[in-house]
Amino acid sequence: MTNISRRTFLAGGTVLTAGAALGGSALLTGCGNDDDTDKSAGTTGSGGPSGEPWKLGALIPITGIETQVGESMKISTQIAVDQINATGGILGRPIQLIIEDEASDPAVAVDKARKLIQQDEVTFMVGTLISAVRNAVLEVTAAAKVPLFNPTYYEGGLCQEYFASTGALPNQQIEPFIPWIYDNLGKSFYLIGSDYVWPRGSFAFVKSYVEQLGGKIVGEEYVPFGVTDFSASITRILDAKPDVLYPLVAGSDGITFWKQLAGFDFKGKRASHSVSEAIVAGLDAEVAKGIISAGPYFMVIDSPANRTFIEEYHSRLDDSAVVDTFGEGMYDAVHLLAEGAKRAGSLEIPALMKGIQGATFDAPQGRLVVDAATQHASLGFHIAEIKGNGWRDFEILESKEAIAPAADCGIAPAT
Amino acid sequence: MVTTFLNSVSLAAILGLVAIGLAVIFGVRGVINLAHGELFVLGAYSTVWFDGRGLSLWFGVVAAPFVVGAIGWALEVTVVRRLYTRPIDTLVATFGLSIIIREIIKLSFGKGSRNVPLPLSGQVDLLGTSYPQYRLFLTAASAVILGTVAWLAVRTDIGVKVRAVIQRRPMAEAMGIDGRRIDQGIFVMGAALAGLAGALMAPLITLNPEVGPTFLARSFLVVIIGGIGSVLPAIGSAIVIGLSEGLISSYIRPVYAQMLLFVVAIVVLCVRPTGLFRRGGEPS
Repeated sequence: MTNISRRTFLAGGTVLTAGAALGGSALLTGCGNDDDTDKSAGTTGSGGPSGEPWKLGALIPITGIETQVGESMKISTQIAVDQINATGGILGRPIQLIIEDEASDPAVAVDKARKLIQQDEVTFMVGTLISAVRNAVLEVTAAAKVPLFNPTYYEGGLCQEYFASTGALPNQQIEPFIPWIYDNLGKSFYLIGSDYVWPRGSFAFVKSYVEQLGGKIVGEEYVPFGVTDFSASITRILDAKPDVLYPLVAGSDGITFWKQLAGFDFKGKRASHSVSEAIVAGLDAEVAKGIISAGPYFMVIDSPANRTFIEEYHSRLDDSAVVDTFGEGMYDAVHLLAEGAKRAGSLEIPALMKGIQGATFDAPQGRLVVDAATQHASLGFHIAEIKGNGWRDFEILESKEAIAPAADCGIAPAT
Repeated sequence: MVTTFLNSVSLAAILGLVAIGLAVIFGVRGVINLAHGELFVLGAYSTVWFDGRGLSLWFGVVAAPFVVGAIGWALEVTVVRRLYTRPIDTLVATFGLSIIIREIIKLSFGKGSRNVPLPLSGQVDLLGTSYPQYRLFLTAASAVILGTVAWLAVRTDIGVKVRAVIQRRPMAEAMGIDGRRIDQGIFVMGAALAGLAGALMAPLITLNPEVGPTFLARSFLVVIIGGIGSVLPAIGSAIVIGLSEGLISSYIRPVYAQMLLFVVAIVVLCVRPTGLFRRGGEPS
């Protein structure tokens, strides 16, 4: 006799489903974050800054659907904090970095944001990745008047008092990319994305740019998080025969999508601004080959600042480790926060936000200037063809000089 | 239409493959193995290990059941064995083990995504359509694996002994069946099947240390719908779920398809509380 009832089994299922919903180990990470608190930051070397440290809260998706970029965001943030502390800190005081795992789950992220604000009493915050998390966290940080510096591209629309961004708006990434695709890859598009605000908002821009050019959208669909089999969607894509497949399937689901697509005989071109070094690392070289991506940062950008950054990054992990646009964004965001504080001469609100407006930083991707009106940075733009699955296998096809953020921060066109 | 049919069949096969390890351990010993997802991931990483040494994926597929089976043996001997009489505690213990395994994977293979090459990358012309070779191979492999497990359970002496132990343990032991060895063998087999499934699925899924719970959740759905008790209901339920998911998701939007699948699951549980393929009343 098995001495367990169906009820118990269902209870097990509930525990499990809750665990899965929390991004797997969120249950675990909720208990403590010793591992993620940067112990080195805040210690004073000879001639270093002293005094009570400024507390910087970082919300990073260490577990969950974006786990493949968590490490890169964490190390990049630590590098920036260590560099600032090594050169005198901010106004003579060091930064103490407190990292929390937001698990790509809005409910977890909100709890962690509250913990950083109420328990740790952080002065400012960087991070979040997926838009659902960003929007949820922003409710908390804006109400508490704690500045949040966003490191990632998103669907736009967040011109807010206590929000700043080094991430690309649609006009800095999608707008220049679509005409290039239209001229070089094809005129009919199939759009497939995860079912949440980022793919839906971004596709609204993609559709409007494609239609302005006279191109055609031959299919648009959204898939839930955590899909493990894309065969039905892929069959529809094959039937629609688009010139260009443009997926915005988030995080690890996106990797699964590319892998499964590769088994089928898809003849069209593949392009997406969401394909970074971290995504490609999860793909076989044969699968990655030929995908076209676009954005403000790729590891192959040849500049002294980028070489120094990657060297430092590799010295902390190993030479094959990838830091993608999210990691570089965190690095830039921390430096721009520090620059803003130095310019303002204060970390008080609203002086700090005034300081951030117009702050500059020689970032790995190039010189960044934070636009005063939108508090979003002007960014460079590159189109890259992927030739293999290492970070060196990105070949830059075309580059543009700094593009200013849209004055309205990118309000999605009606569709 | 043909592609939809092939998609559905391969989906059913994959579901059965992923769930069978969980079904075996639960069906026989009543242990809800919350580390099932992590054992699956360990199997997938064994292909990464061989690939990193320049060997083909097939080495990983062959080695995975042995490696993960051995790990399963270690888990059984050290932890699970002590908890057979405390089913709720096995939940907590295996959940703890899943966290430990996940962290060990992170330490050994890194936190980022790993890639595994597709060993069969072409397509086969079949029934007037071209279909990915590897998916067809996976479907066939899964049919063979599930068939073997079913054969072991129903047609062999081992199966008879296992069923005897499930039904009347003291009596079976009085007849000279070593219940302890059966327990151990079943846990090792369940772990080995999870590992084999992981190795076979590795080329088609994202591979990072965090993916385990996703596959555990799907396996749970299969086992619950099938009904608890043996491996045959789990196989039947994988076929029903796979075919219906394949059909549903090819005709309606994937978001609704996912929802509809759970609606179907809830209806099945209301109409047949003991599972789709299980006769009799409420289990004790």
